[in-house]
Amino acid sequence: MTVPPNNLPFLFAAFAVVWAVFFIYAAYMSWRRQSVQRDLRELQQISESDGDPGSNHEQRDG
Amino acid sequence: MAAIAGRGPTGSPIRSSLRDPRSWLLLLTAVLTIIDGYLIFVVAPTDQVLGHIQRIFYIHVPISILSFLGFLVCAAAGVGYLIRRGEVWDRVAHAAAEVGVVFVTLALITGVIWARPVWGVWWTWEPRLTTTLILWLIYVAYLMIRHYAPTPQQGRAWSAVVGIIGFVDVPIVYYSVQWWRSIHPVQVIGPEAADDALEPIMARILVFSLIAVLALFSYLLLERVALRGAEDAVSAIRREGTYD
Repeated sequence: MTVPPNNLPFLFAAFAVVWAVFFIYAAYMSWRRQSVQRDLRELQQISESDGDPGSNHEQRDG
Repeated sequence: MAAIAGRGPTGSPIRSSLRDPRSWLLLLTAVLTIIDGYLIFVVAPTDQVLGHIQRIFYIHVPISILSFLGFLVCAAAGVGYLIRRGEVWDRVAHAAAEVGVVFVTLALITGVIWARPVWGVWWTWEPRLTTTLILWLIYVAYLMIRHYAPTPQQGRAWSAVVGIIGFVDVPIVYYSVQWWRSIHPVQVIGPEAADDALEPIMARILVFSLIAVLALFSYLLLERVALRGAEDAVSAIRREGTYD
């Protein structure tokens, strides 16, 4: 019976790279989305306060 | 705008997440991935000739196929954008190209890691590898054109044309192992695959892997489209009010 070659390190390297890249890409998108959402909320509050002179700019979050 | 921000006016972030289909898709992807890992590392038989490295095949093939799907979506949405000039078409095309580049990059990396122990070299200029590298370059160029075009409108139109023409390389990649003498294994999935190309257990695990990677691809694509939508909303507000 033939003994299969021992190339486990290559296998683990391949799976490690694949999941690392997917994780980094998903984390990048999540970080970017939070950043854009923060900008959006700030701009929304600025535009609302521009329309309402009595509003308080100090209440902006982020 | 609250919907774009991902939180309703009165709802908590957790409730908002539960209403978002992307959260459920992410959960499904995680479950499928765990099961897929078990199938690949425990259930799948070890190849007597290639050894454990053959298991890369269960992730290399689905990732390659999903990169083709990404470029198909990019080309189709590019056609939609050129006809209708709608921003949604452009968002989908851009997101599909970016996710497709991530997938084809991983297809190249896993292919290289496979090649070293099996062929004895990290890289060889054989037809499948060369045409896949050209595919990667085409869609990296697509992303660069969007970034460096003089105006966003020109970037959208030019990149749509590149996305459509670039898709011509996808069938060339698929059929390259038949059209030219090659050391790359022949197709095991798709119209040109032989019925007995794989053992039944290997074929079933490959199909499961394909479903798991499809779920991941769908999640990343939807997330990227939503992100582009939010980025466009911020840009539009800044243009209208010059809030910089």
